[in-house]
Amino acid sequence: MGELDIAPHFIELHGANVLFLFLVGFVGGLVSGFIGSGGAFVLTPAMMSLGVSGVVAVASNICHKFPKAMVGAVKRHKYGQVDIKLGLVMAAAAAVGVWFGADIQHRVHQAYGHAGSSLYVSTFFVLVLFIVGGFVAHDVWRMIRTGSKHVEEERASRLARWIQSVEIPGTMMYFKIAKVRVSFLFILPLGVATGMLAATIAVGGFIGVPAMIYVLGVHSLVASATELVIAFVMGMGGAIKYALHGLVDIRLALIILAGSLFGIQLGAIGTTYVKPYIIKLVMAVIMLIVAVSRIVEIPNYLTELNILHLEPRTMGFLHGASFALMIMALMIGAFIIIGAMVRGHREHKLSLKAAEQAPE
Amino acid sequence: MWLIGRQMNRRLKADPELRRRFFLFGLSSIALYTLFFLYSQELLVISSRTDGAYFLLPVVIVLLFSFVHGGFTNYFWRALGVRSKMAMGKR
Repeated sequence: MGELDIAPHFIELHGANVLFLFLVGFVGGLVSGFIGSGGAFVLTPAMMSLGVSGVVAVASNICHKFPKAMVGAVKRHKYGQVDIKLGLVMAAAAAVGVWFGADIQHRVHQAYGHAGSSLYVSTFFVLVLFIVGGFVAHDVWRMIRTGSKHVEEERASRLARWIQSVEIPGTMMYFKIAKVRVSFLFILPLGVATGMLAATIAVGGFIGVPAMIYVLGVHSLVASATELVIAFVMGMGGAIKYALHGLVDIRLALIILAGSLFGIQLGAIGTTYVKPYIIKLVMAVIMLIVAVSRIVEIPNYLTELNILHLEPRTMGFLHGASFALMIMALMIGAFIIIGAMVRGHREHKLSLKAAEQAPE
Repeated sequence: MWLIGRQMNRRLKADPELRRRFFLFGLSSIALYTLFFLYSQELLVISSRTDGAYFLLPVVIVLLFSFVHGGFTNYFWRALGVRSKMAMGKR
């Protein structure tokens, strides 16, 4: 792309990192199309691994995320999986969280610079991915242990059943596609938390999707599809907010978008062939591996901030190990999705064939 | 790769509407990305400006790309025969 006379917080791009971003975008899109979110939690560290500062990585990520989410939401709406009303209500609450979260990000970048911003983003990553990923992993393990992984209809959690039973006059809302009736007052804090997280680490979905599943009692397929509506609305708000500060690297956004639009279409198609527990499995596996990858990188940021003192060789090793873990998360996630999709596709073809051959 | 290309070609030949849309969106997408790579430096400088309404530029650009390239990726998978369970059932 030649020599660039650009602001110091933007990196120079070459053939290898363009190809890398395209491929990461594709797998990120595949994951997003499948579980409603999650591409971003791989894409932000991927950009950071190329030397992009945390805030520019998040800004560029959010800027590519909302149009990608729009494409995914349209696709999954055709499959009858999107609850637009729930998505818009969550998104309205999330908008408040996005503006608040983006403001904190900007202040951190101004006060502590590149390393401080990266440390802040990584710490948030680790906390959220471990807590939520651990919870989802536990649920997947329970489903496998009890043999309920083959069930198409999921049973709402005890918390969700209690929340659905609480009647607060004047605040009750019914969501037709999600098939739940809950008070708006329960949705509000979930939406705000989703928005804050999205603006901080660009992956609000890792609060939003589990919250809809475990707190509101929404089916995994509907929750992951509805998350795309939330991602679109708050992603657009977040992108405008970051663009106002001139932090969006449009080149990164467009290169990732090129790959992720291929991925999101494929991921959305994949949801029509799999059992709901696969969505949770993919979420849990990727979240936990990426959390470990960010932990490995944290000592480097602490060294850059003069809190720790590591040898350059050690820092290089940690950086490489973190990067390898992230690639591993990507590959395992993609492998599970494509494997489940191929299996589902094959079974469906066989059942169609059997139906054709069956006597009238 | 050759087999995939042959399958794709067969589907595009069999479905004129798919073929028209595949090439319309595909060529438009190539044109947009060619322009982007040729003028990426200028695009970055303009889109990171914070004065006036320049902040809207990144949003408008990504929406335009997602419409054109998103349309192409949809027809790309269809041409490859990768379709949803519901679409497979209707076939």
